[in-house]
Amino acid sequence: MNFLMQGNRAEVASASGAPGQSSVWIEEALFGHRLWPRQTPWMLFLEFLNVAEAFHRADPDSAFAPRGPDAMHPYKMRFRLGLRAILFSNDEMERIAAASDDSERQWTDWLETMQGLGTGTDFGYLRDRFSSFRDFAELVGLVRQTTLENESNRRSSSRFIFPFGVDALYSDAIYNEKNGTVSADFNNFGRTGEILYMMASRGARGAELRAPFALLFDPEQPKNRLIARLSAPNDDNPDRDQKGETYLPYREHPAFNRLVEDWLAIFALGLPEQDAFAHLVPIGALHVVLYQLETAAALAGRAVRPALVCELIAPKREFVRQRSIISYQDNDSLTLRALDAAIDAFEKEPEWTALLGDEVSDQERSDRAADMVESRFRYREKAGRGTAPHDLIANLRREVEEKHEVGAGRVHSSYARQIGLASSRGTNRMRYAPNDSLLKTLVITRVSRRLEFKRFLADLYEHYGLVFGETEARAALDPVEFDAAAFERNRARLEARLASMGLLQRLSDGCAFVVNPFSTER
Amino acid sequence: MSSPASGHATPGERWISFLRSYGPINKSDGMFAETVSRQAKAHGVAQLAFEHPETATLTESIDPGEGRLTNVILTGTAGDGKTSLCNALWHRLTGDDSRQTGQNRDNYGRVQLATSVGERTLHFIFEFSGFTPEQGQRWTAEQVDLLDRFARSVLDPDPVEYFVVAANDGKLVQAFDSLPDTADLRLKPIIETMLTRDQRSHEGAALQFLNLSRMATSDLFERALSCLVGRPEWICFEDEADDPAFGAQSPLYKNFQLLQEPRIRQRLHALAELCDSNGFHVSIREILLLLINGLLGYKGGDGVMRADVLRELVCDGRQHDACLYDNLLGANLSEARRERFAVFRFLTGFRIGLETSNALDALLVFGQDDADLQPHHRRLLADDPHYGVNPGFARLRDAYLEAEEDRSAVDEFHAGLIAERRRLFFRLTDDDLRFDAWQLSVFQSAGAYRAQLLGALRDGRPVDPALISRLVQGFNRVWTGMLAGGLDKLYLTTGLDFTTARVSDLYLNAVPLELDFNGSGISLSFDEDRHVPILHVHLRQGEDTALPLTLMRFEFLMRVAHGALPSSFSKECYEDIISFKTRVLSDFYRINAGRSVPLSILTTGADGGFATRQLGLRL
Repeated sequence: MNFLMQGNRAEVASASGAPGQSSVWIEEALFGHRLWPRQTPWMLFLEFLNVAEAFHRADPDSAFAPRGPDAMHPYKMRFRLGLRAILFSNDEMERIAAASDDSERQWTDWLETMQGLGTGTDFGYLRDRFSSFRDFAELVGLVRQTTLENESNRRSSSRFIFPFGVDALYSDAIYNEKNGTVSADFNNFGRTGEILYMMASRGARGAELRAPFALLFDPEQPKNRLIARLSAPNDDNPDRDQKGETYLPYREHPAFNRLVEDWLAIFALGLPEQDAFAHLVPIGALHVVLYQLETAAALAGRAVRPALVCELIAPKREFVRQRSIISYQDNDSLTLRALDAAIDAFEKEPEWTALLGDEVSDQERSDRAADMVESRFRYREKAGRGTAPHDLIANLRREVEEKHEVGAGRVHSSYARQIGLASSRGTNRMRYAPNDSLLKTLVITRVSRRLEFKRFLADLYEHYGLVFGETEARAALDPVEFDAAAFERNRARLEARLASMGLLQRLSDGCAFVVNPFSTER
Repeated sequence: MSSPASGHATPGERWISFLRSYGPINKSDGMFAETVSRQAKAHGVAQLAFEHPETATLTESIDPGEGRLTNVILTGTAGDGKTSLCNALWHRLTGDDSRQTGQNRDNYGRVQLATSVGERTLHFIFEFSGFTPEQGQRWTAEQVDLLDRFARSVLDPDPVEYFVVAANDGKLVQAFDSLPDTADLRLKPIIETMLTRDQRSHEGAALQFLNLSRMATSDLFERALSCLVGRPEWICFEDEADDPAFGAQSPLYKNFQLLQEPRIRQRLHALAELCDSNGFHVSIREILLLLINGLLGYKGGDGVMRADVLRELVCDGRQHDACLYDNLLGANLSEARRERFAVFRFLTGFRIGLETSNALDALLVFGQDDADLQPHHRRLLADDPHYGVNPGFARLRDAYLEAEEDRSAVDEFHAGLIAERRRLFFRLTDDDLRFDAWQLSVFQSAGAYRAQLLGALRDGRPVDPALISRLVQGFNRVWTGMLAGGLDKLYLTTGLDFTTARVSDLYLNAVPLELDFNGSGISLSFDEDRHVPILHVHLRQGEDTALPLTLMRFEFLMRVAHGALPSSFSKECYEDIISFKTRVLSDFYRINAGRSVPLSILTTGADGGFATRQLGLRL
């Protein structure tokens, strides 16, 4: 599929205020608004769930239906301040619970400590829902244990619990304790979760995701009802407006299809309760990375999708490690190459070259150049419009690079590290070295029952671009960069690793099967 | 290598020279059958042969006189006797023994058989890889045609031709996997199912599927050993007793006598049985290799003795270098060579001699001098008529005990101690009340595994409830993540988020140890085909989730039950046990769909047992 062709890509909606708020709008135009590196894979998934639930709430039958890139699709999330106050701003509860057995007294004491929290919620409703204060405290304690690890932020408003169901889903927030207002915090939900939702809904079989997620959003689900018990009556109000300014340029894209295919495969295993999340999360983040890399490669003029040469960590420095480092670094540079290519292409456009050659005054040339650059890239110089075109382009490139440094340029390294795909273990450079957890997720996702090992390797390459063995390496690398023996050893290490995790069965003549321990056929 | 020209060697020398070809000397795998038959002819002795366990099955399946004719696939790893079985069948049906003598080595043969419904053709494919393309090569029309005909014979009614096919299991899979779309693909899923589910036949298919790697190692071992020690050529010990190579001082003689001692045989049989229980299959070829290495192995040269080496060792008094106990574990070979053979990889995995207990080491090191241990030392070690007290070890021991600052003595002493532990391992018997041989291996609970689990299941006796209790305790600790007691019920718990949460303290259900009137409980059975006990968790009547209880998993659960952390011993076992939990819980949720259970937290009581505390809420 040539996703770059006319008609598949659409500009951002003209009504969107996002471009106007950006210093420059190129990486967004190419990849979307926005891919945010500081979002962890779980935050990505949480944001995704919030968005999916919002659309499900609006109309269950059109959840996961594809929506055009050039329109805005507003929706509402929830802040659920009452629940969050109980979970995270509730310091006295344990002390009060341990202090006595007098439930009445405990309630009274506790309610006093909660005065004014949760933007003025009256927590008295809890008294009627629990037979004793102790029970209430126990449940809160249990739920708190499922708080997701969030490396960066310890603010109580940045804490999220495990998404048991719709009542446990809430948007990121910043409280202003002084004036009691609450607003969105774009650090945790950086829009990439919404991008993930868009990817899934535009995937070829996206509509099939409706049913499994609808089950998850059913408020009658037992664990969800537990959370609902704690929730304040106002918590259900969808009070967090989203204008729908998130933007994903492509209507169709092979990465979208692969994402949906993988998620459906995971659901098909019928894992109990929400165990599937442990696999949906890393796979989701992986496909966001692959989407960005694949798009960047195409924009940079590469003929083939990027390969990711993976090392199974060897006891000492091996040839594959070198190749893997190079592969990682090459991929890491793809987005910047794509941005450069976009600016290069602009510079070659007839209108621009004509402007450079035109017989006009310098001032007018600068003016018109500034117009063109602003119209195409939304870039305006702070100093005004006097810059010569050549310098203007140079400044543009610099601005793009700086923004890329902290934005789209970090997505690959950040996500790959967090899902266990990349690490610097055993060396001082980052490279692709999938950990056990990710390997297991890949097996569970790609092997429905049992798959011959060589086929498994071929599938990993075809589906994700992952290179482990000599056959795929030969296809992916230049002959000068290829050492069959080293990749054979790498493949053997992968085989041994999978066997030690109980995921591989060996037969004679070097034939082995990868086995999914959760396949529904026993 | 050259052996003395047959004309000049004594029968005994020829016998040893011939036996060497079964040992771990350099040879390429694919040529083994040819090498052995060539060697047999050159030495004028018959090959080592015993009745193959699957001979009876073949005799029954293919008996044209009685109107029984079907297709047969013989599969397994190299060295399981596929070719021999085919050759024997060929001989039985045609009277032609040219295959068995090695004269005829064609990949293909055909015989016309008269049956009650007319003449039928039986094709023999002696080596399947000769009829399929190499990895990555294209299929020729002929090759595809043969497999099409095979499929028709198996699946369509009234076949006029039948096939007997010998194929390595890997090759079988690769071939059917790579069949082009134009071929008859009906057989492929059937073969894959039969292979992975260990089925010997399939509904609607005229096919006998014999996977020889499913043969019990213990059964093969018994047959091989009986065959070997029963050979008439051992008369050389009488006829040539003057030759030091065959006299009473010869390590070969000692090893031969030891191999027949009941306690050694039993210990070896136990090891073979435990290999089966761990899912390790040892091929016939490698069993013979193990036995020959046991008899003729020595530390030096190429690792396998010739007659002249035997004489040398006797002369120098270095019989201990060829000691059976070390040979059986491949200690006479370099590590690289040992690693090449599956049987030694498995046995090395037992880590015999590398594990120990204080009591056992005390016996070895101080037993000779200690009043309490002396009688045991004598009956177990000193009285060994063949390899009695090892003077080398005595010297090392003294050096170690007397050395004050010198650390160099330690390593040598340690190596010597390992050898002594191995000797003790083979000399202890199962009913020894004071010492447990399995403590010298990594599978400390192997004794209980064999006696209380394997033994009970085979005899049809109920398994000791105390053993089941311990297993359940192991499960409880891994599944709940809590290091508490819980011997009387199997607890199904979950975390609030993941069912596989490391600490799962939300109580869902408890399964009793014995089947109750709801059909809920734990039971054990024995899988005859895979030679492994199976543990069943029944949630209700008529349903259960099963876990093959390999020795490895058993050991893991026992260790956890006794206090080891679940993350120790074996990561693979930990993953297996957690996967089993997911399967059991999947069943639980499926059965309980739509029902709510009271929310209870599992805690540890003061007595170390589990207690549940209800929260007055429902889940």
